[in-house]
Amino acid sequence: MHRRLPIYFLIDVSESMIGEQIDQVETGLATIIKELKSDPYALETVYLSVIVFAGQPRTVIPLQELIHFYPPKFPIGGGTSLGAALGHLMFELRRNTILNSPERKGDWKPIIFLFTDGVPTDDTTQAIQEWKDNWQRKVNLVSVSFGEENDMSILHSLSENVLIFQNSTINSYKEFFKWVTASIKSSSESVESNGSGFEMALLKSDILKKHNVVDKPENLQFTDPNYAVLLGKCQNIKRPYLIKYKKELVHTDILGLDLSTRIYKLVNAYAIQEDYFELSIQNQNGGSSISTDELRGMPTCPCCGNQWGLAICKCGNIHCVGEESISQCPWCGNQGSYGFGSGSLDINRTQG
Amino acid sequence: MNLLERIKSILAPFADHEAWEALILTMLQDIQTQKDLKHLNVIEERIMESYKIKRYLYDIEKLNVPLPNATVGKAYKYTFDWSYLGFKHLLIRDVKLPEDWGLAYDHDSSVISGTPTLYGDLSIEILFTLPEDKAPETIHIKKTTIVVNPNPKSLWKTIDSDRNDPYWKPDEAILSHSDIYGMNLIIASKRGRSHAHEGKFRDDDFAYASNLHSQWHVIALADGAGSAKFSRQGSKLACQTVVQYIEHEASEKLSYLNNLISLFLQDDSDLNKTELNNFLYTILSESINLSYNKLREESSKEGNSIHDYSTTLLFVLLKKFDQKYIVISFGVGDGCIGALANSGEEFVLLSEPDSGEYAGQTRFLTSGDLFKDSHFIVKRTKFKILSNLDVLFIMTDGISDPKFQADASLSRIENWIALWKDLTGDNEDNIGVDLSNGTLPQETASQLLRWLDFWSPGNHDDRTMAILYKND
Repeated sequence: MHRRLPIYFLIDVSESMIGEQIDQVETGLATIIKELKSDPYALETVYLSVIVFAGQPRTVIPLQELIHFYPPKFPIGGGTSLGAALGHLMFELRRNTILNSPERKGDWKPIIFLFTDGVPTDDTTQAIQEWKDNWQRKVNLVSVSFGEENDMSILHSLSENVLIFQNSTINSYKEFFKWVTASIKSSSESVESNGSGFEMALLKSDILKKHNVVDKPENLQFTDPNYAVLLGKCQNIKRPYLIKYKKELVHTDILGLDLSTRIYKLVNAYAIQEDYFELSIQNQNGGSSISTDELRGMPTCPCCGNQWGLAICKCGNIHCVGEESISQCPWCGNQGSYGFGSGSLDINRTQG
Repeated sequence: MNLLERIKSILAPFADHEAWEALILTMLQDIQTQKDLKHLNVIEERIMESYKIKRYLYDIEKLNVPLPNATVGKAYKYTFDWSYLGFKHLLIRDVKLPEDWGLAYDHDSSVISGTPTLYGDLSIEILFTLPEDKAPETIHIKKTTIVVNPNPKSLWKTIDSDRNDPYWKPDEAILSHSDIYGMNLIIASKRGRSHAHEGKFRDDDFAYASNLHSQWHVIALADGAGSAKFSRQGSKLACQTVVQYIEHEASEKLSYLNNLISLFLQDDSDLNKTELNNFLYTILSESINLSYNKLREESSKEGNSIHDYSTTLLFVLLKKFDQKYIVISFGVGDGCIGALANSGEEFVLLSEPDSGEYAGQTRFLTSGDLFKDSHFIVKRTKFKILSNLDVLFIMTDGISDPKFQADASLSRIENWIALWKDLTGDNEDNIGVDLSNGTLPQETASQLLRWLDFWSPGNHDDRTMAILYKND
């Protein structure tokens, strides 16, 4: 029995990740696994676990040998509870870590990759304190910020390895995951030759940048979120979906003044699984709202193809509408027929 | 409120509401209207049904069906538990997979089995029908994947070491010698998988010689430190120096040693014992110091640090006196020496691993304690008188680690018996070394070299073993 190198992926699956981002992470992870499987050192020492978190955390893949690893499908949830995620991670670490004993050689220092794209929506103070007290020195944590609106000070309180992923080129994601693979490989080799067991691969500055504690934050307050994500349900298939809008600043000339207005342009609508609700925080009333005035673009329903994916029922929830004369809201059961309303409505956006 | 009551309440305010009521009632009761309403109901039901079917298919499409991974060359069997997977009320028609992968599906038992011959992502298609389907024979397909891993053994590359290196030595070597008191000696040394994978050198080495004048035999093994740049040369020089000293320079001393031993065998008085110990110490310290000095000389000559040549050193001096075998062993560093006697009933551990100051560290010949500690050599030497000897093993840790794991196992005779069984064919690959007199030692040494290729995950160090065995 030889020593294991445990690697944990702690991945933010809040709604802003839906679409391209989460697809890239899924593909990226599958690529990492494939690469590692062809490395004889990694095959013998690397053990992997994948934990996702949104409003709630969940272990998608419990710690296991590389050879048994089956690439997971990532769910999406509402919220970014980093505090809860940390708590869950510490629970897993406590449960899994094998210490040195006369019968068995203990694990190498676990390596944890944290991917997050947004500001935590829960109170992280207690979890961070426990982390600092019990785990910070026993593991190697690398935080990678995916979004532009992250609370870097929180990431710095977890470990000194804070990197910013810059999605600047077409191959950004591919290069990023190559970096993760190289770091794992060199760590597993270093472990073979009795090295430190943690070697971060060289950072390509256009893809990954190290963020230092003393770096000035871009803005003193958090900017408006980049994405607005709305939750809807299909009237016919009765399954949930998310509609994603991306923030854009539009310059308008009003009376000679060059003003920028904030609008949200439709990216796409995505079918999601029922486990969205399990992964979200129980009551979503803390969510902010968005005015339909700010939205540009009408999605089609990703579940049944109905032409109008953004219809708002009397109960305040969103569902799809098609050619039927009488529509029925899949949330509250209310029936009626829809016309095109004028004026704007404030609808609840998800926590993000 | 039912329809009639609602109509009544709507019409109530109008003056001629009764007439309107009568008209509407007639319309409602008209057979054609009834038919049309029924027709609408039927259509609505059909639409609901079709959405029900759409929903099933939608859910199935989104369903994750993870199958356990397979490995090339390893037998695989998986039984589909359809309702557990989420296919409860569906009718499974077939499961299709490509033919050339070595796996097949048996519909009656819902089992995929076989031994995969290719690695990668194997796409499989689950064919099913829905009982609610209006066209019940419509076959729907759900795709999923079986991940087939490559055979881990096949991932290790073999890259030749650099021939042009001044310290180059062959990646494997063997030696055989017969008729040492009716016993054969075979030694085999092989570069470990991790060194082969990176095109590095074999850092182990060995040497054998005999002093004809005094009839002493010497076998030496050494394991160069992985982190030391020139340890391959260190191990080589360490072995050769000791062996050459015994073979050529120590004749007189060894003859005198013989006298002392004979005396002691006749009369094991304290006086004889002390004289014997002291003189033995002289011989051993001379050979070990020569070895050390050789390394210091070499490092000096090349402008390197002596630690670049760090190596362990194990050696055995053997001579038979009438009916008794005298075995003198020395070992610094890891690796071990063991002897079996009395047809396997008795076992003597002649050398066990020697750890450094801190746990997990190995001590080397070059570590420097040789001079700091006056008991250094004595602590690591054993002098044994055996009335018979079946087999003597000397090995580096590339073999003792996988075959014994913990140091504690080295003192248990059953583990050495198990090693013997393993050597003679009781292993995963069914490769045996013929340790009887049926085979010439040259051939047996080759067999030992082949045996050294055994697979042990996590244990990919250089492997060297010397076996002195009886011809029967």
